Amino acid sequence: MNEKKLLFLVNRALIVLAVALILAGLFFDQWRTVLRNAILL
Amino acid sequence: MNNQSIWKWLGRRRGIVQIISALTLNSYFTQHVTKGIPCPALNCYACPAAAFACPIGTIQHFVGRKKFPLYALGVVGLVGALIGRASCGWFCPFGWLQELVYRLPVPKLRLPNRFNWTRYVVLAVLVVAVPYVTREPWFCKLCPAGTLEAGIPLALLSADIRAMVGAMYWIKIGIMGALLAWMSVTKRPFCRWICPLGALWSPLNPISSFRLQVDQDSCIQCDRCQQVCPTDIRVYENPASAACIRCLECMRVCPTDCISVVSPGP
Repeated sequence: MNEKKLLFLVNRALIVLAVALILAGLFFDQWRTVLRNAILL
Repeated sequence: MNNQSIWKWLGRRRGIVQIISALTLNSYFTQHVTKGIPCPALNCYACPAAAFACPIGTIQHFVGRKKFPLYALGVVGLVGALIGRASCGWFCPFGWLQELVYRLPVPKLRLPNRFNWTRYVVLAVLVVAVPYVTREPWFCKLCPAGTLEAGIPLALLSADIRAMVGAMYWIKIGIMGALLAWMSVTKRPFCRWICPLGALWSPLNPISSFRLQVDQDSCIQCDRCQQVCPTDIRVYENPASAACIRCLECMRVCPTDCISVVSPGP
């Protein structure tokens, strides 16, 4: 596998991982925690 | 108009993007909804006008409560995977401030990037380790962006907060003052040696969707790129450098047009 293709795959894997983290955070209601913490400051 | 011309055109208007970004991140009216979203920049969410959450403040909040900051790290990771540190160059109000202060006509001090690993130490110690142990957001307590955007305005606006001013407040003011002085003589010192958000994005620079490429055959190594670079790097030595903030200033001044924007493709 050449370096260009490897970079592409790592980039896409990272995007998928980041989206999965965001969805998991939303599932655990972290959005509300972030909002409450920010509003209370 | 080819792809490179579009990027050069956009690069010439970076200042406008920085103004729009600073205004959007501090647009006040939407804050009761949008403050639940970490912004792609170091912008203090204690600022009375802040419309979004600070990603570093949010991460510390979760770390202090012994919870994994899934959501905040996801947002930071997504931004990093898409554009690397371009947020530092285009959207961060504190980065913009540093560029403005550096324009002051005072003697300049060039410092090598050799010790810029210190931002990883700030991330590990002040954003993760100390908040985990003390349950307090220690980076926020010392953050100069927080002092400028929240500490000073809140003290000016509220007599109750003015009454609470103590030694810690003056330490914060001292840090901010020292950094402002440093900004006037050295290019973007906070981004290069201190910023923990930059430390999170730096390792993603080589693998982000938005990257720079240098045609080594055309490059004449005139170092004009380094002269205008806000982080003082030679882009031809490593176009995927962890210090690069993708501001495209190098592309704008390159006499041989050897720098281009690329995306990883299959």
